[in-house]
Amino acid sequence: MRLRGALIACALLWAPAASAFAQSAAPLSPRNASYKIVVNLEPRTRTITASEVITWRNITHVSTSELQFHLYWNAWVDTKSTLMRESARSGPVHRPPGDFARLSVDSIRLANAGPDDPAGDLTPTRRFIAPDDGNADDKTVMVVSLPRPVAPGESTSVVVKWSARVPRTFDRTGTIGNYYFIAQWFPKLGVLEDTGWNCHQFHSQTEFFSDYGVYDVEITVPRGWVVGATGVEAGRSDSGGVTTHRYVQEDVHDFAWTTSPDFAVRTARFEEAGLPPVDMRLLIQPEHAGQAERHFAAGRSALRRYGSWFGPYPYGHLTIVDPAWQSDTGGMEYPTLITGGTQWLISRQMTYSTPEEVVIHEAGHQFWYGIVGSNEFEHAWMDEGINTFATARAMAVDYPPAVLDRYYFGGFIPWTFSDVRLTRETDYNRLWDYRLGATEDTLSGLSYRQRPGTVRFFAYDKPAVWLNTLERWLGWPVVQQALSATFRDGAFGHPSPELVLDHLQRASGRDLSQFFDQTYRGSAVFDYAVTELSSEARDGQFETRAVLRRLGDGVFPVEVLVTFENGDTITEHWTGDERWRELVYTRRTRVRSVVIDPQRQLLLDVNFTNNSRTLAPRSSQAARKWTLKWMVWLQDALLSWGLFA
Amino acid sequence: MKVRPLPAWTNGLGRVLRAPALVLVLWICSLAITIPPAIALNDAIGRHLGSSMEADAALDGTNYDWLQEFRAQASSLGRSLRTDVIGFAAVLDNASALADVNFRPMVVVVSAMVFASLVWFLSPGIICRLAVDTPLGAGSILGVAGTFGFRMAKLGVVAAGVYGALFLSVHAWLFDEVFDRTTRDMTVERTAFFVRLALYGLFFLLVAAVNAVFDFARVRLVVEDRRSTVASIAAATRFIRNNAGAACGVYLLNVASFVLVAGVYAVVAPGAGGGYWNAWYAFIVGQLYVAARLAVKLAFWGSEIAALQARFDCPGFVRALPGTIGVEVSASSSSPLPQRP
Repeated sequence: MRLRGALIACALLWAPAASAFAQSAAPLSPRNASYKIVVNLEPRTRTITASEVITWRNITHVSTSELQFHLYWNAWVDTKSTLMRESARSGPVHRPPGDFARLSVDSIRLANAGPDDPAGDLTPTRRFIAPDDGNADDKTVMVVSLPRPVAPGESTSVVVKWSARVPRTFDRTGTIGNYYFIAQWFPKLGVLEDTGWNCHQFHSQTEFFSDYGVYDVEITVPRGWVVGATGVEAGRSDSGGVTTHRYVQEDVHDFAWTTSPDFAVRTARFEEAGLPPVDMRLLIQPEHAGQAERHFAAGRSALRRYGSWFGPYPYGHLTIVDPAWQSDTGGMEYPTLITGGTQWLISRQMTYSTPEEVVIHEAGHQFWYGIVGSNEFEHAWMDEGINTFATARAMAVDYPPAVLDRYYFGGFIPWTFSDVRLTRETDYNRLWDYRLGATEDTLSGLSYRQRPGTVRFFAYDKPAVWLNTLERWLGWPVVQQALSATFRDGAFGHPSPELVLDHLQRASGRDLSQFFDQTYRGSAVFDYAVTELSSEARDGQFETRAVLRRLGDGVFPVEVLVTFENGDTITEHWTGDERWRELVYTRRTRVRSVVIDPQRQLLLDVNFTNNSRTLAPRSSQAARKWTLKWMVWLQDALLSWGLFA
Repeated sequence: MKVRPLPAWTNGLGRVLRAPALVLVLWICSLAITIPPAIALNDAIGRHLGSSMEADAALDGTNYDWLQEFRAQASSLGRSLRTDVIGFAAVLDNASALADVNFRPMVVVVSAMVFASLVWFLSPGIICRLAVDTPLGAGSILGVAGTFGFRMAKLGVVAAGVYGALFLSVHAWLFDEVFDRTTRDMTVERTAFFVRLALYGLFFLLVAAVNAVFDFARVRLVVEDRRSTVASIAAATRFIRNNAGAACGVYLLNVASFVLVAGVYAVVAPGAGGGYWNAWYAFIVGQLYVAARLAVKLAFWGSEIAALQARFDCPGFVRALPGTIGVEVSASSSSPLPQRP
């Protein structure tokens, strides 16, 4: 009751400010699910107590007589939830009882009902459903019945009060020490579609989906603690030993926040001709303070490249959070707020472990997740895959080639392999990983139903390799045009995968249905090979024969480059649909080599080594080189373990 | 007689340098053990590359894409080919695996067991050679190894048990329990790193202590012709306790020489670029490093022998040598070691 009173008081107090804020710009989104939240964090007991007013407008063509809410934290109250059961498939979950969350929705009332109006109290009608798997122990989706249906175009407001124990981090949410990262934390409406509510349970492999709105959130934390949140700080007041921070953000579909007394705060500004400026705020761990500029540079790279390739970033501000060590909250995106990830000791060069890739990737999610609000439960590739592709591209454009690094001694001591260059195509697109799971499932399958443990193949790897293949085949202008059109048409909405496919088809000006059937709807494996090559002297000339084979079921048009010893070259075009093809030439010179797909357009080819053949192979030398290195490594291992001899 | 660590260490190192054949033999052992799996790996790489032009990039530098493709299709032996084999990373990888007791590929486990067993078996002969500090024939060294074979086997069983307990139980307790518990709510990586460093220090202090005890036990077992495993260990422990400064000093000097060898290798170890002949150059540099490490390994024994003999003022003494060995040693070697202190 006290919370509700405080909420109303705050609402009255801040109404003019909020109104002014709301009028600051024309709505970019339908703003049909808006939240006004008051939350108090008590670190001593690791609890939050909160209240929210949700104002929801039905923007579909159907009425609804119920509301469906995500209660994500219920996934971590025990090990019986669907998420925990799914997580356990890859190994038992051993967490002490104190790690788990607790979530208690104390009441739900219609906002416009009087306090004594029994019809306004929706609490007795609440129940949990498990639409995805029927797990009766899963309480991540709550339903309440409304006293009367909400017709299309109508609105309703509810007041929800709840309290929760903040878990030790699960799935990039929770606390460690005095670092709090609070995400997926409030009872949140699902998305009503013309076919009904789209409100999935919390799954271990997939993320989130919700409608756009205005978030106005008042966060009370101990005085002196730094707060970072979705939106911009619109007010701050001290009272006793606590400080209340008010954050407001329009046209977003989620709200996350973090607090800790340990953050060092840095700021910078992104300015680029033709793009709106963005104020960047970095909350960085003091031990990483020397890496602040690397974070900002990566943020600028994302804003510049994504902004010019797809469309401008409209929010004007971005908060980058450098998560606390072992908090497991890094590498995650929320509207206008992202978490990076780095280590205390890192290479001066860009590697897998330095902050660049993760910051570009998560900042990139502001575009593909934040602005284009695709359904991450069902089509995770639409944000992760497109974003992985774009991240790799941005890095290739803005940075020198990255190099490989590895960490030793408990993951603390780095070693940089300066002569192992990482490439956009094979490394940052994760081709190496795609090879392992090419046939595990299809890209078009619903993500939350994909085979456990395969999400990375289909959310990240395959779409990135797939899009890069299209770029190398059709050209960047075609792919850029298609993605920018998708961005334009899907912004602040919930586009389906067909929008991407349609725009690719349209921009290319050709029929891509076979390619989509194989790579999107199917799981065709591409593997072209040169299996035979000979050049025999005959009548003063050389008869060259090369046998090309299609070892996989995937069909793709490829070029074949034949190079002769005198430097002459012939480029053949093979539709690739036959299982094999023989090339025969009679010339005065011997053949030197044959390469299928010399430009490597078909990145989806899982075995590139067999794409070429030469009559002067150096494989024995290469094998010896790597064997010699391996021998020294093995001898060193013998000496290390020989300590005991 | 009071033992001083630096003279004992220089004396021990001198004994090793005067016995290069020992280093050579151990180096040959290490090489011989790696050759059979290396041949298999070489074949596997050659088969995968076939006549492909990808071999060019693999030869001229690091064709990381090919390496991953190869590993994705390889057997467990092939999967042991990782970028960690490049230059000094190999040392870090192996040292880190030892310090963290990480799972190693089967080829490493089997090869390491063969190597450790071989060195353990040969160690009486090597210790005898270093103790007399006079050239001995291969037959004599093998004869000593054979004579002490059963006693060494018994000592080996005890050592394996103690090392096993250290690396499995104590390590697990320190790093899976103490470290995890200490750092559970830690949010600063640097602090956690120093905690881990302290635990590494503690753990390797224990390992060094055990290592020193078994080294001295072996030395005493051979030099004094002891028959009891337990008595040898007890004698070694007594010696270390009564001459703690010297024993620790000698051990630390040897550890420092290992660090020096590794440090030099870190600076000079070639990377993966440069083509075929560079690979041979890297291999030769690698072999020099291996030889230097083996010399350091022998210097541990040599300096421990020197310390023991200096303590009892009987340089070159070996109590009971089979066959003619006793005849070959210097006159001073016949001076009696005080009754098994």
